[in-house]
Amino acid sequence: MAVAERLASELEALPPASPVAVQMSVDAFPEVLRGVLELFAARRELPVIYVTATIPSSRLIPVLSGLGIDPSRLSFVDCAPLMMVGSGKEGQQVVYVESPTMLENIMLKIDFLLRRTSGEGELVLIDSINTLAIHNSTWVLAEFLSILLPILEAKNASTVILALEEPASQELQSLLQHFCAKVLRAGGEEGTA
Amino acid sequence: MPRRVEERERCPTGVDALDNILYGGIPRANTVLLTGSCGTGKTSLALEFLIHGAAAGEIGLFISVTEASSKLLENIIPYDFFEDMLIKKGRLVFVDLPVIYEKLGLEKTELNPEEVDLLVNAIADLVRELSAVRLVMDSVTSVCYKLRSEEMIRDFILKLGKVLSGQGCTSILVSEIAPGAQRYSMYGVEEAIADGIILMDNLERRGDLLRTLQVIKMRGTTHSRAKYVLDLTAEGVLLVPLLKGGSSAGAA
Repeated sequence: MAVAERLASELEALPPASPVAVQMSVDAFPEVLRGVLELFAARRELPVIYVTATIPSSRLIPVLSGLGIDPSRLSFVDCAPLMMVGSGKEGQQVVYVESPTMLENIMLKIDFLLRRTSGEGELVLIDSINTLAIHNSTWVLAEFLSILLPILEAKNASTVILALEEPASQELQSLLQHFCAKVLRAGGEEGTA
Repeated sequence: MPRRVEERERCPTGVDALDNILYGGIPRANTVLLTGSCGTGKTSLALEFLIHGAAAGEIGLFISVTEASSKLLENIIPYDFFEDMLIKKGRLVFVDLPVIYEKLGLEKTELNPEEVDLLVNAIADLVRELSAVRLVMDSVTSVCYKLRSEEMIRDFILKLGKVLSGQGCTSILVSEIAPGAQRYSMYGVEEAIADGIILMDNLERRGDLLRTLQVIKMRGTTHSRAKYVLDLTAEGVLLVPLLKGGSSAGAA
């Protein structure tokens, strides 16, 4: 089974609103996006909040379109360092956080978008924990997840946290295993927290 | 047998997280000092308190001291929950204090004790006439500029708080302080008299500037004293706890 299909079926098998981590190689990134956003979220008609810390939304949206993913169904919290790529225009679809160090503001923007949509049943995709870990200590990230994930669970929103396998530290892997109901490996072996 | 303390009725601010912090809202008829330096979101929060009240059928009075209310309304955040009808139906009333000064003949730089009484009575009359149960004065500091001594400031706030409380009016007095001030009000008097203090601040952390909110005191309820980060949005004021690791990692 292809990576995207397998990932989608694994996500479908999980209880609703479970926080999940997806560990993947860089090469698997497009297939993971297709699996999570197209095959899983679109099939279930889940509104998606895409937190992008690595690729600015202005560059990500065309990439998603190229993968056959309809970006109009997605809202973005764009925290890719803003001044380095030119400031984007905030609108209904994209809200900006100045820096990935402003984790509280990321939570606030997710809350804002949840209120803007139905407020229940959304999928929140965090891309990626590795980029957030470049800008924040593991301790702060743990605190961030310990606040964010229960809030999302309470709102019946599912969370998928993307993690690159290669540069991930043991600390980061432990963090994901601690906070996520399941750690999936895209296309490979899967582990359970 | 110990006397059972009755739970005070609450005046929900309508800001979900703040009402959670206050275990349901501001105890009704409290006079709360909403204090902070410029750009921290005091006026937005105070306005939201009135708008949510008006939407729930509670008449709110906004007394604008420094800025003309027409200008204030032009710059208001386009709240999703705000409707012009609230103003048209008289549930949300804006009054410019300079207009009251003019009517009372108090257009001067300093007020004497008798004139302070006149002003307090005029505000009380307005609250009574409108049947207002929520009031915001933005800012009380600008009124205090007209008072010569700490005693007069104390007297003004005590009297104002008493008449508003006596009419069951829950009030927010917006107070301006300098950035980094080590007290909660300009004169150090206001904070001692108010029933509650909500501090709004800017926190610089590793070059990021975060807006924060902290309830310092609130008579009549237990409450969280933790610091929260806030965002001013079209959905209103949103709050999340300040990450502690974050604040210790490099707070200014």
